[in-house]
Amino acid sequence: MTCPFDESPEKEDFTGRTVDTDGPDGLWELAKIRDRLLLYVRGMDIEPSFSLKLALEALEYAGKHYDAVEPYMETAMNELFYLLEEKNISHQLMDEQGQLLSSAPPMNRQTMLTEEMDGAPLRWAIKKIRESLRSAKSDHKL
Amino acid sequence: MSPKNDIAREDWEQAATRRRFLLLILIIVPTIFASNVVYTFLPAKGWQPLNIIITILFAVLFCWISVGFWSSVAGMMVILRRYDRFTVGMGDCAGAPVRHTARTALLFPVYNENAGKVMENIRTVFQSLRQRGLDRCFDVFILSDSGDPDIWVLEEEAWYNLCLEEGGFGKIFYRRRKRNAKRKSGNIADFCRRWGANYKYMVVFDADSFISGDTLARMVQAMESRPDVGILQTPPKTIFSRSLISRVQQFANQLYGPVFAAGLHYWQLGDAQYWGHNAIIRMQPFILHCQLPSLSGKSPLGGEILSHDFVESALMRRAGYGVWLAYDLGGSYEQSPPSLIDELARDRRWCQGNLQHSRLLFTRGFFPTHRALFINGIMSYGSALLWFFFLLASSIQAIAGFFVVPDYFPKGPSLFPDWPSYFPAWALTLLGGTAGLLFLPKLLALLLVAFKGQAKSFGGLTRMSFSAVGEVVVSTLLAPMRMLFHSFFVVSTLLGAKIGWNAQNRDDRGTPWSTAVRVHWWGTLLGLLWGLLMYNISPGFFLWLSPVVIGLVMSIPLSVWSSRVSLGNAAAYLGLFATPSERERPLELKQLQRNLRRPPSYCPFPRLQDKGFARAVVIPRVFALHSTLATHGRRNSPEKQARLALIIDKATKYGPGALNRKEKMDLLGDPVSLHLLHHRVWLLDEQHADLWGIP
Repeated sequence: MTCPFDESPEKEDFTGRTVDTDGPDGLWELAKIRDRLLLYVRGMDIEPSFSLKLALEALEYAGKHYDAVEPYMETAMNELFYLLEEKNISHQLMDEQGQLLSSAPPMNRQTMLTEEMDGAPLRWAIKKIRESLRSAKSDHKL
Repeated sequence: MSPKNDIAREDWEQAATRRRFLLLILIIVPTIFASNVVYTFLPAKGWQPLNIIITILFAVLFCWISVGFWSSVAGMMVILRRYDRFTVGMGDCAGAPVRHTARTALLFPVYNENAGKVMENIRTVFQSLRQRGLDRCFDVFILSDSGDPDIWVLEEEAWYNLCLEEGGFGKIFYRRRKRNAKRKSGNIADFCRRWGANYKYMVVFDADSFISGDTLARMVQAMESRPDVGILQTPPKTIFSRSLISRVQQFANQLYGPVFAAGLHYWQLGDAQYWGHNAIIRMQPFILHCQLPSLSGKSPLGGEILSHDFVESALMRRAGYGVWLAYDLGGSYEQSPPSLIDELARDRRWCQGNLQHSRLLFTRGFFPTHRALFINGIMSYGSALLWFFFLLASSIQAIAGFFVVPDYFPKGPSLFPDWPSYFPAWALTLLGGTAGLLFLPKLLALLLVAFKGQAKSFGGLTRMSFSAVGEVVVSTLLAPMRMLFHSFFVVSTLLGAKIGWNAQNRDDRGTPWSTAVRVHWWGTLLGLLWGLLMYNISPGFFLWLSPVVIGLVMSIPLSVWSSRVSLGNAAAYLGLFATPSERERPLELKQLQRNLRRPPSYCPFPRLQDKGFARAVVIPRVFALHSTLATHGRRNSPEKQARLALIIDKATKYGPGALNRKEKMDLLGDPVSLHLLHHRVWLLDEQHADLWGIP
């Protein structure tokens, strides 16, 4: 893959390493890492200029500490995660009082007892009818 | 103050008894007369038991439509008189300040709804309160029962954005239940148990309902001035309808609704019904007396009570508190289903809920009016089945008339044959009377609006009249389909068919032809067969039956066309089915409309717009929010940990599309696993990251 904006296939990156734009370590690869880092910080609720600094720091670190075993992307992202932790940018949101954000107020519990709902009037009516029928029968026999 | 010592209560109870007695007479006397006419009008050569069945069915149906008619007449009287000593909504309390002790919770129970739309509703209510300086007395609670992982995350995010934009932290709350026991009533009860003690009143909303700040203030003032009122229901006006059917219903709701609501108030007074939303409820009696039990036996008639609102109002009344309809209170709105199929889906739930009330008819301590209202609810769907049976029995009678040879000498040989006697004048009187019961309330409402000089807000007298005719035509054409489906719902419920709890569709997408064919084919077939049979056997009867046959045969195109927004827009262009809420849109509705048109918040992940679960995994901001809000439960068992590890592996390899709902819910419920997955996803190579919407 050739970068259409580069005249020479080989040049130095910002860390001073010579990179081959045609190879997997080329500028395209760096651009992808940059975009991934930028995308991550854009998805955070932090000051835009500060987020750019963080991304740049992670990118520089990845360039300096590149090793063939760990993919470039992983090094850069791990560095970004480390920087966020170091700068105390937690993945927990806080409220104005510095407490962990809660979406509900403190509970003030009480109980709700289930209402009794029986068919008593119907049973009562059936019972009454039965009783009156029985008494009518016994009167008839007498 | 104990409501049992309230003198005003005795006053209204006496008035209510007199009024209901009058209603009973007005229903029963004409029904006896009309049934007698029907019986004599039926052919003597027919099968006699069938004549009796037809007459009984007619009597019940006549009673049923009489209730609506007399309610409208009573409503007309109430509105024309301009004075109602029992009014609750616009009484002397109007304009009084809302005391800060009258703390009120605004509850928005949601179940897999469009989170964005719900939040804009809430935003408008909140803004409306804030503009009037009332927000300190009201707290908003979004009570989610959503079981869809995507919607869960979108709800959280929408709540957070709303709080950030409106400064609503500490005023607008969000709570999601893990298990949605007892559905909506359980959701409200859960709120009452957790936070009910903090509030004096609660106002229950529907996901698409809306109440203006002024009206909310009035509702609280009314409750403050009448401690004997337990529930105050407002009559919601239908708004924002776009499809043809919903525009027609919106027009009917706004033209006939006020008269009918006033009529209901006239009979019911403090024994009114709670309709499940757009009502204010006194918290303590609700907590003490309105917790619903599960009914013995299995669903559909046993188990959880589905239509909880009617039962809660009966329980509130049993506890000694009145339930009132504030028929004169404006500023209360809701939206109607956009298509016939959506309306029928909703009716199916309501039908099961209402039929369940047959189990509660004889509950100890319920007031007779509430027992009558249970029957009224059952009849809302049962009447469809009775009408179907009535038509069926009439058809059988017509067929019998064709096959049975008339006996002109039933008493043996005689010089004087017993000619079958028909009384056309009586038949026409009966027909006219029945049509009057059905259509006169509409005409009365139309005249009332014209008399009060409000026709302009319905598009002018001519357009309003044409719209009313159009409404009659559309409702007549759709009535046979509704009858057939409601009959089916009643029978299937009685036979034990259960229904699920699906979110209500509120989008104006229209009914596709394929869906209409799948839903209505059997109705069309039945209409065709029925029509052909009657046309060949008894053309005279076919003419009587033709409105029903046409409605059934045309059910597929009618269902599709009535759901079309284009036809609704065309009607609006012609000025048909115009309503005051459209033509003279109140400020709060303008605000709501503006809010509903707000562009979505900035998001650098365009492919994850509606994918809540993926957003929680990928987008750091959403991940942080969800992780913060997720409840840290007990430590996971080794088995669960192992299962979660497998799910994480699967998600990493194959993306979110490979996970089922339960797996997604498990991950969202465990912040540790979510954290692990979040990290892994951001380290993925290009090909795998693409599955998560990361370019």
